[in-house]
Amino acid sequence: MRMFSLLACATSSRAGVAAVAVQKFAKHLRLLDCFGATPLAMTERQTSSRGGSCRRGDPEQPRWPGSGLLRLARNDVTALIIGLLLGLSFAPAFAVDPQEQLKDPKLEARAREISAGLRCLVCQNQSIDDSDAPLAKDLRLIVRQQLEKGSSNQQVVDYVVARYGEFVLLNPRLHLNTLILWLTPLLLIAGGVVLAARVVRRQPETRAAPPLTPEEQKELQSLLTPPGGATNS
Amino acid sequence: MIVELGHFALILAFCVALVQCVSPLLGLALRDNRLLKIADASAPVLFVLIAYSFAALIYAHVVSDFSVANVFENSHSAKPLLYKISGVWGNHEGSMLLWVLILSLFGAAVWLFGRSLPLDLRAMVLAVQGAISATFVIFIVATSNPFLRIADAPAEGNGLNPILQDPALAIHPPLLYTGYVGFSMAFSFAIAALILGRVDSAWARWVRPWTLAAWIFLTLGIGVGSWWAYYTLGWGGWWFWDPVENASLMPWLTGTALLHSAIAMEKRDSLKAWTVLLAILTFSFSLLGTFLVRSGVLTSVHSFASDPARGVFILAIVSAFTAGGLALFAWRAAALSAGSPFSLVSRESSIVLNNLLLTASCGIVLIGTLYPLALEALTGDKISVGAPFFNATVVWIFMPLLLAVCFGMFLAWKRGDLREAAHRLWPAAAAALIAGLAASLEGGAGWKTVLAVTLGTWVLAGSVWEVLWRAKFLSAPLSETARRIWNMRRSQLAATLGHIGLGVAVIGIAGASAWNTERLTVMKQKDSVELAGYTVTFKNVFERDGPNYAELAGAFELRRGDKLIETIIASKRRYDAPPQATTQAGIAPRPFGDVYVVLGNELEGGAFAVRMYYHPFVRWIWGGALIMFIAGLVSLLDRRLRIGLPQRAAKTPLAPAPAAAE
Repeated sequence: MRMFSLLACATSSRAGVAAVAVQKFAKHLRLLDCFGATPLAMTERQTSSRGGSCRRGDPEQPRWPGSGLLRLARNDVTALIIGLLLGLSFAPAFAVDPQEQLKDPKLEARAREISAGLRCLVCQNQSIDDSDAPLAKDLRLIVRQQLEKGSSNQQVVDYVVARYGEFVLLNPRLHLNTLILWLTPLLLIAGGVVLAARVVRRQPETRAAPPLTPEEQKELQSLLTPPGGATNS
Repeated sequence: MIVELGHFALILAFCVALVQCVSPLLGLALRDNRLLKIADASAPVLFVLIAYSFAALIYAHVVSDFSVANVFENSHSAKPLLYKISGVWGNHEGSMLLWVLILSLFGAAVWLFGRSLPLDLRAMVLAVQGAISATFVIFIVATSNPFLRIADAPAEGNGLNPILQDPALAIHPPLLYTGYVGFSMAFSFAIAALILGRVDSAWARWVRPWTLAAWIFLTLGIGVGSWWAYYTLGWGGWWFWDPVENASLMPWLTGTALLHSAIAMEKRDSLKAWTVLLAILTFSFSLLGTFLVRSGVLTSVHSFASDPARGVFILAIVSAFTAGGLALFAWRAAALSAGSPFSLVSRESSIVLNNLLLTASCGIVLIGTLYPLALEALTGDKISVGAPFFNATVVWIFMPLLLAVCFGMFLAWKRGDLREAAHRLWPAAAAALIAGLAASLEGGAGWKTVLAVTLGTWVLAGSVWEVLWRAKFLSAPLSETARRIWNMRRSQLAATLGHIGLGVAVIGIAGASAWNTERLTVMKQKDSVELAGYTVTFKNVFERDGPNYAELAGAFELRRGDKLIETIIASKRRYDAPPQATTQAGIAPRPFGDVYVVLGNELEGGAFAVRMYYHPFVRWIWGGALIMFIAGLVSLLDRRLRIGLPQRAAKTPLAPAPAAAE
């Protein structure tokens, strides 16, 4: 399998790989990036974070648990990835397989709920529930396996995070390094209210001038009354 | 030769843009009107040059001239003509050329329609447009030149990614770019006003139609993109809080705020500084979106660092225009007069609230999009910020906004009465409560869904009721109501229609999120599955060929009871160039939702994995966007009728204010 992948890596043209990569990241370029050329070519970070996703269908390697996947991740990742991507070009987009589903509908529903919050590591901003990447499939199976063992939702998430890092969480946890992220919405609202209050409050002040003092009234009268004596009005 | 001329025209366009930028500034400094008028002449020239350049690139794509690197990399001779043309903006270089083409089109529009503008204002607007054009044209020529040749021309091109070979995606970029670039008009007017130190309601009357034009195209562009995602990506998702989506949502949010505050400025001469700031911010977000998408920074911080030429260039452009605009604002905003006063409860205050909430939600989208990049660049920690974060934050800000929409419409300018407005809104409140109750009785609806349906109906009913109430519905004969509606100003109806679109979209979003059903099954031919009251029968599979692909298609019969409604075809396509497979979902639009079928892999014994969905209300989302687009058109038509107003005002030399004359 790895031999094949390496071979594939050596023979495939860059453009072909990029094009396939584009299909993978189809979603990411949906709005503006309507092309397959440059920015979508695989990058260092992505290749290095793609753990063992091409293990699908290889009976000699242990499929679980995650440690096996992680071990694989250290080997020749790039070649594996390219092999995977080439393989993918013949696999239509299809996320959760019917066979993957758990028998117990309640457990399956929980699995779907958890999956929606976990990121497929090889995709742009796709949850493992939506992704058709083999790695996402493996993660879905891990989630279901843990659930069948009787873990709570939190335990399942912790189990995945322990192996893949905080990066898998689509909803980042409140930590020191996400403090600013989570505080910003509150600060924005608070700042906005203060600013708006200033804008609105400033307005009535200009509108209602303070009433004239008796001295001012007198002065006004004297100004309005021409020296001749007769008033205008 | 045509290609070389196109290349030459592009370089010449840079020179013309430079002249268009510099001569009005010189003219202003030297007080020489002739220099100001040069901008008038250069704007149409710039457009013609860039249009020729763009046409040359289209020509190269249409005739499949593979000696041009851009054509070789992105086109294929067997591609249908439509996709040969749309492939021009289906790649980085071509899409940037489209960007400046639309920019120069707006510049030419100022020249064409803006003759009644004061000469100095028009010249300054064109100068800013010229500056933007010059920087982007030189960016294209220096880092993203679409006209480069290959010495040994290949016989065949690489082809366009098949998922981009789609009608919706052919029109999506031009729509979106018209929106993005259209906001440059608001920006140019804002900068010109700050330089000249003159911002008045005539200014707002000019800025608002341009902003509106940009906004409706951005709305439609985002809607088309979402629709494309829905039917292309194979599971019916329509919004993913993806950074690229967020990049287009940010200018939409501030642009919507700008649209509202410009009304306050036009009608009441208030919120001046606010409006000018929003104009600057909105275009800055458009530039930021261009940067995010074009620089590769979204894919990875590392890919940005490894090929920084384009990214750094665009980053420099974004920083220069944003920082320049904001600095000018900080320097000159104090000179803008405070404008007409208003009380805490008034139409103006409701617009301030609208601006506040929209800008805050834009800020949240911004931080959510950029935070992972910034964190990784600064500390190396990798985190993801995805849909759950945005759903937990932005969505909540929208709730009070939706609540406030109806009150805003019923409050008077300057000083309103909240209790009276609430009293008048009783039919909307009743409709909203009934809808909320109905939603809560439907299974599977959480309290969030109920709240969203209630608020969506509230906005929808409140908008309809506003028009009826103003037309004295129920308190006058029907003929009188009809006459009043007929005589209502178009912009008034447009505002109502826009809010109706918002309500429709909100109900669509709530309904589609809460009640979609999914069936994952393995089906053999003749098997049937029940889905949301329908019966879907797998009839047969067959193979067929398209223009540049072959597909395996499955036919599914959709029945309600015994009645055959339609046959859904879902297929898997295989393209040759580039070799790639795509999934074509089969979708049957029904009155209250879509039946969505995806054909999966073939399994043993002729069975297929099949995914089926029922997506209720999902069309309401794009329907809402379409209604907003139409609303904008209606308002623009009204504007054209009233365009005489600023004309007369502008032709008489600005008389000193009466008070000063005494």
